[in-house]
Amino acid sequence: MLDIILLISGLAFFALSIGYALACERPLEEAQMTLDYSLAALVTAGLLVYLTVALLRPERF
Amino acid sequence: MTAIGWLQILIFCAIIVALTPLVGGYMTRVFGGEWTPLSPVLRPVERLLYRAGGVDETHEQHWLTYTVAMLLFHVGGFLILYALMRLQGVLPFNPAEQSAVAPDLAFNTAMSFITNTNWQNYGGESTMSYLVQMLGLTHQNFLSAATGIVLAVALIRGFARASAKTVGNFWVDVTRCTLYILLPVCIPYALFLVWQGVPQTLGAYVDATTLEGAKQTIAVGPVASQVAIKMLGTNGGGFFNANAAHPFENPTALSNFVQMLSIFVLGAGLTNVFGRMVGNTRQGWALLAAMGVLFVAGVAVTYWAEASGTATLHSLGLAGGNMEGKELRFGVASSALFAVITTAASCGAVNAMHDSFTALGGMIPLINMQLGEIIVGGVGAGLYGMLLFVVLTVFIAGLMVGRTPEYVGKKIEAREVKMAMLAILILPLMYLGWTAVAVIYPPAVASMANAGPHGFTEVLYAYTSQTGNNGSAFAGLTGNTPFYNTTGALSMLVGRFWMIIPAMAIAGSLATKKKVAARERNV
Repeated sequence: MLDIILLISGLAFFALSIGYALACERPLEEAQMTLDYSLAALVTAGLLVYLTVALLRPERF
Repeated sequence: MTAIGWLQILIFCAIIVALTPLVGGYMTRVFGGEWTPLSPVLRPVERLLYRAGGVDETHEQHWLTYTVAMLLFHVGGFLILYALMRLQGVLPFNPAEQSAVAPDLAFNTAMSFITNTNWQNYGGESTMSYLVQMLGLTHQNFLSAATGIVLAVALIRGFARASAKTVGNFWVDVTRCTLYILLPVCIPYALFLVWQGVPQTLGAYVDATTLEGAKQTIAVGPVASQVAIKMLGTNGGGFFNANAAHPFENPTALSNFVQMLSIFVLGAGLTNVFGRMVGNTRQGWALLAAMGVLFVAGVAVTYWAEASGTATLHSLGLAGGNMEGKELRFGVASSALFAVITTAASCGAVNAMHDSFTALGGMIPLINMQLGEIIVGGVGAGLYGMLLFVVLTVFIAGLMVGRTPEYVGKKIEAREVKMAMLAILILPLMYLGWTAVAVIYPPAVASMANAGPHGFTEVLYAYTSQTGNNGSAFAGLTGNTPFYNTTGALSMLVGRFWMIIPAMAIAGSLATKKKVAARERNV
Protein backbone atom coordinates (compact mmCIF):
# COMPACT_ATOMS: atom_id res chain seq x y z
CA MET A 1 0.00 0.00 0.00
CA LEU A 2 2.82 2.40 0.94
CA ASP A 3 4.52 1.51 -2.34
CA ILE A 4 1.47 2.60 -4.29
CA ILE A 5 1.14 5.85 -2.34
CA LEU A 6 4.80 6.70 -2.89
CA LEU A 7 4.71 5.80 -6.58
CA ILE A 8 1.60 7.88 -7.12
CA SER A 9 3.23 10.78 -5.23
CA GLY A 10 6.27 10.58 -7.49
CA LEU A 11 4.18 10.45 -10.64
CA ALA A 12 1.99 13.29 -9.37
CA PHE A 13 5.06 15.46 -8.94
CA PHE A 14 6.11 14.88 -12.53
CA ALA A 15 2.56 15.56 -13.76
CA LEU A 16 2.60 18.80 -11.78
CA SER A 17 5.97 19.67 -13.29
CA ILE A 18 4.63 19.22 -16.81
CA GLY A 19 1.77 21.54 -15.82
CA TYR A 20 4.31 24.03 -14.51
CA ALA A 21 6.23 23.88 -17.79
CA LEU A 22 3.01 24.47 -19.75
CA ALA A 23 2.22 27.45 -17.52
CA CYS A 24 5.66 28.91 -18.21
CA GLU A 25 4.98 28.70 -21.92
CA ARG A 26 1.75 30.68 -21.76
CA PRO A 27 1.67 34.49 -21.94
CA LEU A 28 3.00 35.89 -18.69
CA GLU A 29 -0.20 37.66 -17.62
CA GLU A 30 -2.25 34.52 -18.19
CA ALA A 31 0.26 32.41 -16.25
CA GLN A 32 0.22 34.93 -13.41
CA MET A 33 -3.55 34.74 -13.19
CA THR A 34 -3.34 30.94 -13.09
CA LEU A 35 -0.81 31.22 -10.28
CA ASP A 36 -3.05 33.67 -8.41
CA TYR A 37 -6.05 31.38 -8.76
CA SER A 38 -3.97 28.38 -7.65
CA LEU A 39 -2.71 30.20 -4.56
CA ALA A 40 -6.25 31.38 -3.78
CA ALA A 41 -7.51 27.80 -4.11
CA LEU A 42 -4.80 26.56 -1.73
CA VAL A 43 -5.59 29.24 0.86
CA THR A 44 -9.31 28.53 0.55
CA ALA A 45 -8.79 24.79 1.01
CA GLY A 46 -6.54 25.41 4.03
CA LEU A 47 -9.08 27.74 5.61
CA LEU A 48 -11.85 25.24 4.97
CA VAL A 49 -9.95 22.50 6.81
CA TYR A 50 -8.98 24.83 9.68
CA LEU A 51 -12.49 26.21 10.18
CA THR A 52 -14.08 22.75 9.98
CA VAL A 53 -11.73 21.41 12.65
CA ALA A 54 -12.31 24.53 14.75
CA LEU A 55 -16.06 24.02 14.42
CA LEU A 56 -16.00 20.35 15.41
CA ARG A 57 -13.26 20.52 18.05
CA PRO A 58 -13.27 24.07 19.44
CA GLU A 59 -11.65 22.85 22.69
CA ARG A 60 -8.41 22.31 20.80
CA PHE A 61 -7.96 25.97 20.06
CA MET B 1 48.71 26.35 6.94
CA THR B 2 51.69 25.08 4.98
CA ALA B 3 53.39 25.99 1.71
CA ILE B 4 52.72 22.47 0.43
CA GLY B 5 49.04 22.91 1.21
CA TRP B 6 48.82 26.16 -0.75
CA LEU B 7 50.87 24.62 -3.57
CA GLN B 8 48.32 21.81 -3.88
CA ILE B 9 45.50 24.35 -4.15
CA LEU B 10 47.46 26.40 -6.70
CA ILE B 11 48.28 23.36 -8.85
CA PHE B 12 44.65 22.28 -8.74
CA CYS B 13 43.47 25.68 -9.98
CA ALA B 14 46.15 25.81 -12.69
CA ILE B 15 45.24 22.38 -14.07
CA ILE B 16 41.54 23.24 -14.18
CA VAL B 17 42.26 26.47 -16.06
CA ALA B 18 44.51 24.58 -18.50
CA LEU B 19 41.92 21.85 -19.11
CA THR B 20 38.98 24.23 -19.58
CA PRO B 21 39.57 25.21 -23.25
CA LEU B 22 40.50 21.65 -24.23
CA VAL B 23 37.41 20.12 -22.67
CA GLY B 24 35.25 23.02 -23.83
CA GLY B 25 36.44 22.69 -27.41
CA TYR B 26 35.72 18.97 -27.47
CA MET B 27 32.28 19.35 -25.88
CA THR B 28 31.35 22.09 -28.34
CA ARG B 29 32.16 19.75 -31.22
CA VAL B 30 30.10 16.97 -29.62
CA PHE B 31 27.00 19.11 -29.13
CA GLY B 32 27.44 20.75 -32.50
CA GLY B 33 27.25 17.29 -34.10
CA GLU B 34 30.73 17.74 -35.57
CA TRP B 35 33.37 15.11 -36.21
CA THR B 36 35.46 14.04 -33.21
CA PRO B 37 38.35 11.56 -32.98
CA LEU B 38 35.90 9.08 -31.43
CA SER B 39 33.36 9.41 -34.26
CA PRO B 40 34.64 6.47 -36.37
CA VAL B 41 33.93 4.12 -33.46
CA LEU B 42 30.94 5.76 -31.81
CA ARG B 43 28.97 7.15 -34.75
CA PRO B 44 27.67 3.68 -35.82
CA VAL B 45 26.64 2.98 -32.22
CA GLU B 46 24.91 6.34 -32.04
CA ARG B 47 22.99 5.70 -35.27
CA LEU B 48 21.98 2.27 -34.00
CA LEU B 49 20.62 3.77 -30.79
CA TYR B 50 18.58 6.36 -32.70
CA ARG B 51 17.17 3.65 -34.95
CA ALA B 52 16.30 1.48 -31.96
CA GLY B 53 14.65 4.39 -30.14
CA GLY B 54 12.90 5.80 -33.20
CA VAL B 55 14.71 9.11 -32.86
CA ASP B 56 15.10 11.43 -35.83
CA GLU B 57 18.38 13.16 -35.07
CA THR B 58 17.71 15.95 -37.54
CA HIS B 59 14.48 16.93 -35.79
CA GLU B 60 14.91 19.64 -33.17
CA GLN B 61 12.52 20.37 -30.32
CA HIS B 62 10.79 23.44 -28.94
CA TRP B 63 11.91 24.14 -25.33
CA LEU B 64 8.62 22.80 -23.98
CA THR B 65 8.95 19.51 -25.89
CA TYR B 66 12.57 19.27 -24.79
CA THR B 67 11.58 19.79 -21.13
CA VAL B 68 8.65 17.38 -21.20
CA ALA B 69 10.87 14.73 -22.84
CA MET B 70 13.37 15.24 -20.02
CA LEU B 71 10.64 14.92 -17.37
CA LEU B 72 9.20 11.75 -18.91
CA PHE B 73 12.71 10.31 -19.15
CA HIS B 74 13.01 10.77 -15.39
CA VAL B 75 9.63 9.17 -14.71
CA GLY B 76 11.06 6.01 -16.29
CA GLY B 77 14.24 6.31 -14.26
CA PHE B 78 12.30 6.73 -11.02
CA LEU B 79 10.04 3.73 -11.62
CA ILE B 80 12.88 1.41 -12.63
CA LEU B 81 15.15 2.42 -9.75
CA TYR B 82 12.37 2.16 -7.19
CA ALA B 83 11.41 -1.30 -8.46
CA LEU B 84 15.03 -2.49 -8.44
CA MET B 85 15.47 -1.52 -4.79
CA ARG B 86 12.18 -2.99 -3.66
CA LEU B 87 12.85 -6.26 -5.50
CA GLN B 88 16.60 -6.59 -4.90
CA GLY B 89 16.07 -9.53 -2.50
CA VAL B 90 14.85 -11.73 -5.34
CA LEU B 91 17.14 -10.36 -8.06
CA PRO B 92 20.62 -11.68 -8.98
CA PHE B 93 24.07 -10.24 -8.12
CA ASN B 94 23.28 -10.08 -4.43
CA PRO B 95 26.05 -12.09 -2.72
CA ALA B 96 25.58 -10.33 0.61
CA GLU B 97 21.87 -11.28 0.47
CA GLN B 98 20.58 -7.77 1.03
CA SER B 99 16.83 -7.66 1.63
CA ALA B 100 14.37 -5.29 -0.05
CA VAL B 101 14.95 -1.61 0.69
CA ALA B 102 12.16 -0.07 2.82
CA PRO B 103 9.57 1.87 0.77
CA ASP B 104 10.34 5.35 2.12
CA LEU B 105 14.09 4.82 1.82
CA ALA B 106 13.68 3.47 -1.72
CA PHE B 107 11.57 6.54 -2.58
CA ASN B 108 14.19 8.91 -1.19
CA THR B 109 17.05 7.08 -2.88
CA ALA B 110 15.31 6.87 -6.26
CA MET B 111 14.58 10.60 -6.21
CA SER B 112 18.09 11.25 -4.97
CA PHE B 113 19.80 9.46 -7.86
CA ILE B 114 17.55 10.68 -10.66
CA THR B 115 18.09 14.27 -9.52
CA ASN B 116 21.89 13.95 -9.42
CA THR B 117 21.77 14.54 -5.66
CA ASN B 118 22.92 11.16 -4.36
CA TRP B 119 21.84 11.95 -0.84
CA GLN B 120 22.19 8.64 0.97
CA ASN B 121 20.16 7.77 4.05
CA TYR B 122 21.77 4.31 3.93
CA GLY B 123 25.19 2.69 3.93
CA GLY B 124 25.84 1.33 0.44
CA GLU B 125 27.72 -1.78 1.53
CA SER B 126 25.06 -2.77 4.07
CA THR B 127 21.93 -1.96 2.07
CA MET B 128 22.35 -2.31 -1.70
CA SER B 129 23.03 -5.37 -3.87
CA TYR B 130 25.60 -5.23 -6.66
CA LEU B 131 22.77 -5.20 -9.20
CA VAL B 132 21.21 -2.10 -7.66
CA GLN B 133 24.59 -0.40 -7.34
CA MET B 134 25.42 -1.05 -11.01
CA LEU B 135 22.15 -1.14 -12.93
CA GLY B 136 20.30 1.30 -10.72
CA LEU B 137 22.64 3.78 -9.11
CA THR B 138 25.62 3.90 -11.50
CA HIS B 139 23.24 3.93 -14.46
CA GLN B 140 21.42 6.93 -13.03
CA ASN B 141 24.76 8.60 -12.28
CA PHE B 142 25.40 8.66 -16.03
CA LEU B 143 21.93 9.76 -17.05
CA SER B 144 21.41 12.45 -14.43
CA ALA B 145 24.81 13.92 -15.22
CA ALA B 146 24.05 13.85 -18.94
CA THR B 147 20.70 15.53 -18.27
CA GLY B 148 22.36 18.39 -16.40
CA ILE B 149 24.88 18.94 -19.16
CA VAL B 150 22.37 18.89 -22.01
CA LEU B 151 20.03 21.30 -20.23
CA ALA B 152 22.92 23.75 -19.86
CA VAL B 153 23.69 23.31 -23.55
CA ALA B 154 20.03 23.95 -24.42
CA LEU B 155 20.16 27.19 -22.42
CA ILE B 156 23.38 28.17 -24.16
CA ARG B 157 21.66 27.56 -27.51
CA GLY B 158 18.98 29.98 -26.35
CA PHE B 159 21.64 32.65 -25.94
CA ALA B 160 23.47 31.67 -29.12
CA ARG B 161 20.59 31.34 -31.58
CA ALA B 162 18.60 34.13 -33.13
CA SER B 163 14.95 34.00 -34.21
CA ALA B 164 14.87 30.25 -33.59
CA LYS B 165 12.01 28.16 -32.29
CA THR B 166 14.06 25.17 -31.14
CA VAL B 167 16.81 24.50 -28.60
CA GLY B 168 18.03 21.07 -29.75
CA ASN B 169 16.80 17.49 -29.39
CA PHE B 170 16.85 16.05 -25.87
CA TRP B 171 17.30 12.44 -26.96
CA VAL B 172 20.14 13.27 -29.32
CA ASP B 173 21.89 15.46 -26.76
CA VAL B 174 21.67 12.87 -23.97
CA THR B 175 22.90 10.12 -26.29
CA ARG B 176 25.84 12.16 -27.54
CA CYS B 177 26.75 13.36 -24.05
CA THR B 178 26.78 9.83 -22.64
CA LEU B 179 28.50 8.21 -25.62
CA TYR B 180 31.09 10.84 -26.50
CA ILE B 181 31.84 12.51 -23.17
CA LEU B 182 30.95 10.47 -20.08
CA LEU B 183 31.68 6.89 -21.17
CA PRO B 184 35.02 7.56 -22.93
CA VAL B 185 36.33 9.32 -19.81
CA CYS B 186 34.87 6.92 -17.26
CA ILE B 187 36.29 3.72 -18.74
CA PRO B 188 39.98 4.69 -18.49
CA TYR B 189 39.21 6.59 -15.27
CA ALA B 190 37.81 3.42 -13.66
CA LEU B 191 40.89 1.49 -14.81
CA PHE B 192 43.10 4.18 -13.26
CA LEU B 193 41.22 3.79 -9.98
CA VAL B 194 41.67 0.02 -10.09
CA TRP B 195 45.40 0.63 -10.57
CA GLN B 196 45.34 2.84 -7.47
CA GLY B 197 43.71 0.07 -5.43
CA VAL B 198 39.95 0.52 -5.81
CA PRO B 199 38.15 -2.86 -6.04
CA GLN B 200 36.17 -3.84 -9.14
CA THR B 201 34.68 -7.28 -8.61
CA LEU B 202 31.39 -9.14 -8.53
CA GLY B 203 32.82 -11.54 -5.94
CA ALA B 204 31.35 -11.86 -2.46
CA TYR B 205 32.46 -9.82 0.54
CA VAL B 206 35.76 -11.07 1.98
CA ASP B 207 36.05 -12.59 5.46
CA ALA B 208 39.28 -11.74 7.24
CA THR B 209 40.84 -12.37 10.64
CA THR B 210 42.34 -9.33 12.32
CA LEU B 211 45.66 -9.34 14.19
CA GLU B 212 43.68 -9.60 17.44
CA GLY B 213 41.97 -12.70 16.07
CA ALA B 214 38.56 -11.11 15.50
CA LYS B 215 36.53 -12.01 12.44
CA GLN B 216 35.82 -9.15 10.05
CA THR B 217 33.83 -8.94 6.83
CA ILE B 218 35.39 -6.62 4.30
CA ALA B 219 32.94 -5.23 1.77
CA VAL B 220 34.09 -5.12 -1.85
CA GLY B 221 32.21 -4.92 -5.15
CA PRO B 222 32.09 -3.07 -8.47
CA VAL B 223 33.42 0.09 -6.82
CA ALA B 224 35.77 1.66 -9.40
CA SER B 225 33.11 1.91 -12.11
CA GLN B 226 30.78 3.73 -9.73
CA VAL B 227 33.42 6.04 -8.29
CA ALA B 228 34.53 7.19 -11.76
CA ILE B 229 31.11 8.50 -12.78
CA LYS B 230 30.13 9.71 -9.32
CA MET B 231 33.05 12.16 -9.48
CA LEU B 232 32.98 13.07 -13.17
CA GLY B 233 29.20 13.47 -13.16
CA THR B 234 29.25 15.35 -9.81
CA ASN B 235 26.84 12.78 -8.43
CA GLY B 236 28.77 12.01 -5.27
CA GLY B 237 26.96 8.91 -4.04
CA GLY B 238 29.48 6.55 -2.51
CA PHE B 239 29.61 2.80 -2.91
CA PHE B 240 30.55 2.74 0.78
CA ASN B 241 29.01 4.68 3.63
CA ALA B 242 32.26 6.60 4.28
CA ASN B 243 32.33 7.73 0.64
CA ALA B 244 35.70 9.11 -0.55
CA ALA B 245 37.12 8.85 2.98
CA HIS B 246 37.01 5.03 2.56
CA PRO B 247 40.38 3.64 1.44
CA PHE B 248 38.64 1.44 -1.16
CA GLU B 249 37.01 4.47 -2.79
CA ASN B 250 39.92 6.85 -2.53
CA PRO B 251 43.11 4.97 -1.67
CA THR B 252 45.97 7.38 -2.42
CA ALA B 253 46.94 11.04 -2.57
CA LEU B 254 46.99 10.71 -6.37
CA SER B 255 43.50 9.23 -6.55
CA ASN B 256 42.33 12.01 -4.23
CA PHE B 257 43.80 14.72 -6.45
CA VAL B 258 42.43 13.19 -9.66
CA GLN B 259 39.01 12.81 -8.08
CA MET B 260 38.99 16.50 -7.16
CA LEU B 261 39.97 17.45 -10.70
CA SER B 262 37.29 15.24 -12.18
CA ILE B 263 34.59 16.95 -10.11
CA PHE B 264 35.37 20.31 -11.70
CA VAL B 265 36.57 19.46 -15.17
CA LEU B 266 33.27 19.22 -17.06
CA GLY B 267 31.65 22.13 -15.23
CA ALA B 268 34.63 24.37 -15.99
CA GLY B 269 34.67 23.12 -19.58
CA LEU B 270 31.03 24.14 -19.99
CA THR B 271 31.91 27.80 -19.39
CA ASN B 272 34.17 27.51 -22.42
CA VAL B 273 31.37 25.82 -24.37
CA PHE B 274 29.24 28.86 -23.55
CA GLY B 275 31.90 31.25 -24.84
CA ARG B 276 32.40 29.29 -28.04
CA MET B 277 28.71 28.83 -28.80
CA VAL B 278 27.82 32.50 -28.30
CA GLY B 279 30.82 33.45 -30.41
CA ASN B 280 32.77 35.24 -27.70
CA THR B 281 35.13 33.05 -25.67
CA ARG B 282 35.90 35.95 -23.33
CA GLN B 283 32.36 35.65 -21.97
CA GLY B 284 33.16 32.06 -21.00
CA TRP B 285 36.35 33.13 -19.28
CA ALA B 286 34.46 35.90 -17.49
CA LEU B 287 32.05 33.33 -16.06
CA LEU B 288 34.93 31.10 -14.97
CA ALA B 289 36.73 34.05 -13.41
CA ALA B 290 33.64 35.00 -11.38
CA MET B 291 33.38 31.40 -10.21
CA GLY B 292 37.12 31.35 -9.50
CA VAL B 293 37.00 34.39 -7.21
CA LEU B 294 34.27 32.82 -5.09
CA PHE B 295 36.05 29.47 -5.09
CA VAL B 296 39.44 30.80 -3.99
CA ALA B 297 37.81 32.86 -1.24
CA GLY B 298 35.98 29.76 0.00
CA VAL B 299 39.08 27.59 -0.05
CA ALA B 300 41.15 30.24 1.76
CA VAL B 301 38.62 30.60 4.59
CA THR B 302 38.07 26.86 5.00
CA TYR B 303 41.77 26.01 4.89
CA TRP B 304 42.60 28.80 7.35
CA ALA B 305 39.80 27.77 9.73
CA GLU B 306 40.68 24.07 9.67
CA ALA B 307 44.42 24.70 9.94
CA SER B 308 43.86 27.05 12.88
CA GLY B 309 41.93 24.46 14.88
CA THR B 310 39.65 25.48 17.72
CA ALA B 311 40.14 27.13 21.10
CA THR B 312 38.82 23.97 22.79
CA LEU B 313 41.46 21.80 21.12
CA HIS B 314 44.19 24.31 21.99
CA SER B 315 43.10 24.43 25.64
CA LEU B 316 43.60 20.67 25.75
CA GLY B 317 47.16 21.14 24.61
CA LEU B 318 46.51 19.86 21.07
CA ALA B 319 48.54 22.04 18.76
CA GLY B 320 47.89 22.29 15.03
CA GLY B 321 44.78 22.11 12.95
CA ASN B 322 41.43 20.42 13.44
CA MET B 323 41.96 16.78 12.49
CA GLU B 324 38.66 15.46 13.86
CA GLY B 325 36.82 13.63 11.09
CA LYS B 326 39.73 13.90 8.66
CA GLU B 327 41.87 11.19 7.12
CA LEU B 328 45.49 11.44 8.26
CA ARG B 329 46.62 10.39 4.77
CA PHE B 330 44.94 13.46 3.24
CA GLY B 331 45.60 16.07 5.95
CA VAL B 332 44.01 19.46 6.44
CA ALA B 333 44.73 21.09 3.05
CA SER B 334 43.36 18.27 0.89
CA SER B 335 40.35 17.82 3.15
CA ALA B 336 39.51 21.54 3.10
CA LEU B 337 40.03 21.74 -0.67
CA PHE B 338 37.89 18.65 -1.26
CA ALA B 339 35.09 20.02 0.96
CA VAL B 340 34.95 23.30 -0.95
CA ILE B 341 35.12 21.60 -4.35
CA THR B 342 32.42 19.09 -3.54
CA THR B 343 29.99 21.77 -2.35
CA ALA B 344 30.92 24.37 -4.96
CA ALA B 345 30.06 21.70 -7.49
CA SER B 346 26.92 19.76 -6.61
CA CYS B 347 28.97 16.61 -6.09
CA GLY B 348 28.54 15.78 -2.44
CA ALA B 349 31.25 13.13 -2.21
CA VAL B 350 33.31 13.70 0.93
CA ASN B 351 36.82 12.70 1.99
CA ALA B 352 36.33 14.19 5.47
CA MET B 353 33.33 14.57 7.73
CA HIS B 354 31.90 18.06 7.29
CA ASP B 355 30.08 17.73 10.62
CA SER B 356 33.47 17.75 12.35
CA PHE B 357 34.73 20.90 10.66
CA THR B 358 35.22 24.07 12.68
CA ALA B 359 32.34 26.53 12.71
CA LEU B 360 33.85 28.68 9.93
CA GLY B 361 35.15 25.68 7.99
CA GLY B 362 31.68 24.11 7.99
CA MET B 363 30.04 27.40 7.10
CA ILE B 364 31.71 27.60 3.67
CA PRO B 365 30.25 24.32 2.31
CA LEU B 366 26.85 25.49 3.54
CA ILE B 367 27.25 28.87 1.84
CA ASN B 368 28.45 27.23 -1.36
CA MET B 369 25.29 25.16 -1.52
CA GLN B 370 23.01 28.03 -0.55
CA LEU B 371 24.47 30.13 -3.36
CA GLY B 372 22.92 27.51 -5.62
CA GLU B 373 26.18 25.66 -6.35
CA ILE B 374 27.10 28.06 -9.09
CA ILE B 375 30.86 27.99 -8.45
CA VAL B 376 31.58 25.72 -11.41
CA GLY B 377 28.69 23.77 -9.98
CA GLY B 378 27.21 20.43 -10.87
CA VAL B 379 27.77 19.36 -14.44
CA GLY B 380 25.42 21.62 -16.35
CA ALA B 381 23.45 22.67 -13.31
CA GLY B 382 26.25 24.99 -12.22
CA LEU B 383 26.29 26.80 -15.53
CA TYR B 384 22.55 27.24 -15.92
CA GLY B 385 22.41 28.35 -12.26
CA MET B 386 25.14 30.90 -12.89
CA LEU B 387 23.41 32.12 -16.06
CA LEU B 388 20.24 32.74 -14.06
CA PHE B 389 22.27 35.00 -11.78
CA VAL B 390 23.78 36.67 -14.84
CA VAL B 391 20.28 37.45 -16.13
CA LEU B 392 19.41 39.05 -12.80
CA THR B 393 22.71 40.92 -12.58
CA VAL B 394 22.40 42.30 -16.09
CA PHE B 395 18.84 43.38 -15.35
CA ILE B 396 19.85 45.18 -12.13
CA ALA B 397 22.88 46.77 -13.81
CA GLY B 398 20.61 47.91 -16.65
CA LEU B 399 18.29 49.59 -14.14
CA MET B 400 21.23 51.32 -12.49
CA VAL B 401 22.61 52.83 -15.69
CA GLY B 402 19.24 53.39 -17.35
CA ARG B 403 19.81 51.12 -20.38
CA THR B 404 17.90 48.19 -21.77
CA PRO B 405 19.55 45.15 -20.20
CA GLU B 406 21.19 42.79 -22.64
CA TYR B 407 23.67 39.95 -22.51
CA VAL B 408 25.68 38.44 -25.37
CA GLY B 409 23.47 40.29 -27.81
CA LYS B 410 20.14 39.26 -26.30
CA LYS B 411 17.78 41.72 -24.65
CA ILE B 412 16.84 40.66 -21.15
CA GLU B 413 13.20 41.52 -20.60
CA ALA B 414 10.50 41.03 -17.98
CA ARG B 415 9.82 37.43 -18.92
CA GLU B 416 13.44 36.30 -18.46
CA VAL B 417 13.82 38.15 -15.16
CA LYS B 418 10.60 36.71 -13.74
CA MET B 419 11.56 33.20 -14.77
CA ALA B 420 15.03 33.65 -13.25
CA MET B 421 13.43 34.80 -9.99
CA LEU B 422 11.10 31.78 -9.97
CA ALA B 423 14.08 29.47 -10.43
CA ILE B 424 16.25 31.13 -7.80
CA LEU B 425 13.61 31.64 -5.10
CA ILE B 426 12.36 28.08 -5.12
CA LEU B 427 15.62 26.89 -3.49
CA PRO B 428 15.47 28.91 -0.23
CA LEU B 429 11.73 28.33 -0.08
CA MET B 430 12.37 24.58 0.10
CA TYR B 431 15.34 24.39 2.43
CA LEU B 432 14.21 27.12 4.83
CA GLY B 433 10.62 25.90 4.80
CA TRP B 434 11.41 22.27 5.55
CA THR B 435 14.02 23.23 8.15
CA ALA B 436 11.38 25.31 9.92
CA VAL B 437 8.98 22.38 9.89
CA ALA B 438 11.64 19.89 11.03
CA VAL B 439 12.76 21.88 14.06
CA ILE B 440 9.24 22.07 15.49
CA TYR B 441 8.14 18.53 14.60
CA PRO B 442 9.08 16.29 17.57
CA PRO B 443 9.93 13.08 15.59
CA ALA B 444 12.21 15.16 13.34
CA VAL B 445 13.86 16.83 16.33
CA ALA B 446 14.54 13.37 17.79
CA SER B 447 16.75 12.60 14.77
CA MET B 448 19.28 15.28 15.71
CA ALA B 449 22.47 13.98 17.29
CA ASN B 450 23.37 17.40 18.67
CA ALA B 451 21.24 19.87 20.56
CA GLY B 452 21.28 23.63 20.10
CA PRO B 453 22.78 25.52 17.14
CA HIS B 454 24.78 22.58 15.82
CA GLY B 455 21.68 20.39 15.70
CA PHE B 456 19.86 23.16 13.83
CA THR B 457 22.76 23.40 11.36
CA GLU B 458 22.57 19.64 10.76
CA VAL B 459 18.94 19.98 9.70
CA LEU B 460 19.54 23.13 7.66
CA TYR B 461 22.52 21.48 5.97
CA ALA B 462 20.46 18.37 5.17
CA TYR B 463 17.69 20.29 3.43
CA THR B 464 20.13 22.69 1.75
CA SER B 465 22.15 19.78 0.44
CA GLN B 466 19.09 17.92 -0.85
CA THR B 467 17.43 20.98 -2.37
CA GLY B 468 20.72 21.97 -4.01
CA ASN B 469 21.15 18.38 -5.28
CA ASN B 470 24.50 18.14 -3.51
CA GLY B 471 24.22 15.06 -1.31
CA SER B 472 26.88 15.74 1.31
CA ALA B 473 25.74 15.76 4.93
CA PHE B 474 26.45 16.96 8.41
CA ALA B 475 26.47 13.36 9.48
CA GLY B 476 24.99 13.79 12.96
CA LEU B 477 21.44 13.78 11.66
CA THR B 478 19.65 10.42 11.40
CA GLY B 479 17.95 10.92 8.08
CA ASN B 480 16.49 7.47 7.53
CA THR B 481 13.05 8.18 8.96
CA PRO B 482 9.76 8.45 7.06
CA PHE B 483 9.67 12.22 7.66
CA TYR B 484 13.17 12.99 6.41
CA ASN B 485 12.95 10.46 3.57
CA THR B 486 9.75 11.90 2.12
CA THR B 487 10.37 15.61 2.72
CA GLY B 488 13.95 15.21 1.54
CA ALA B 489 12.75 13.54 -1.66
CA LEU B 490 10.37 16.42 -2.30
CA SER B 491 13.18 18.93 -1.69
CA MET B 492 15.39 17.16 -4.23
CA LEU B 493 12.65 17.02 -6.86
CA VAL B 494 11.65 20.65 -6.49
CA GLY B 495 15.26 21.81 -6.23
CA ARG B 496 16.12 20.04 -9.47
CA PHE B 497 13.13 20.25 -11.75
CA TRP B 498 11.46 23.46 -10.66
CA MET B 499 14.72 25.24 -11.22
CA ILE B 500 15.15 23.61 -14.63
CA ILE B 501 11.69 24.46 -15.97
CA PRO B 502 11.99 28.27 -15.70
CA ALA B 503 15.59 28.04 -16.95
CA MET B 504 14.37 26.19 -20.03
CA ALA B 505 11.57 28.75 -20.46
CA ILE B 506 14.31 31.39 -20.56
CA ALA B 507 16.16 29.31 -23.17
CA GLY B 508 13.05 29.15 -25.33
CA SER B 509 12.32 32.83 -24.92
CA LEU B 510 15.88 33.93 -25.71
CA ALA B 511 16.14 31.64 -28.73
CA THR B 512 13.22 33.39 -30.41
CA LYS B 513 14.80 36.84 -30.01
CA LYS B 514 16.94 38.56 -32.56
CA LYS B 515 20.52 39.38 -31.75
CA VAL B 516 21.10 43.04 -30.98
CA ALA B 517 23.66 44.33 -33.44
CA ALA B 518 26.99 45.42 -31.96
CA ARG B 519 26.55 48.86 -33.55
CA GLU B 520 23.20 49.29 -31.81
CA ARG B 521 24.66 48.07 -28.52
CA ASN B 522 27.36 50.69 -28.51
CA VAL B 523 24.95 53.60 -28.87
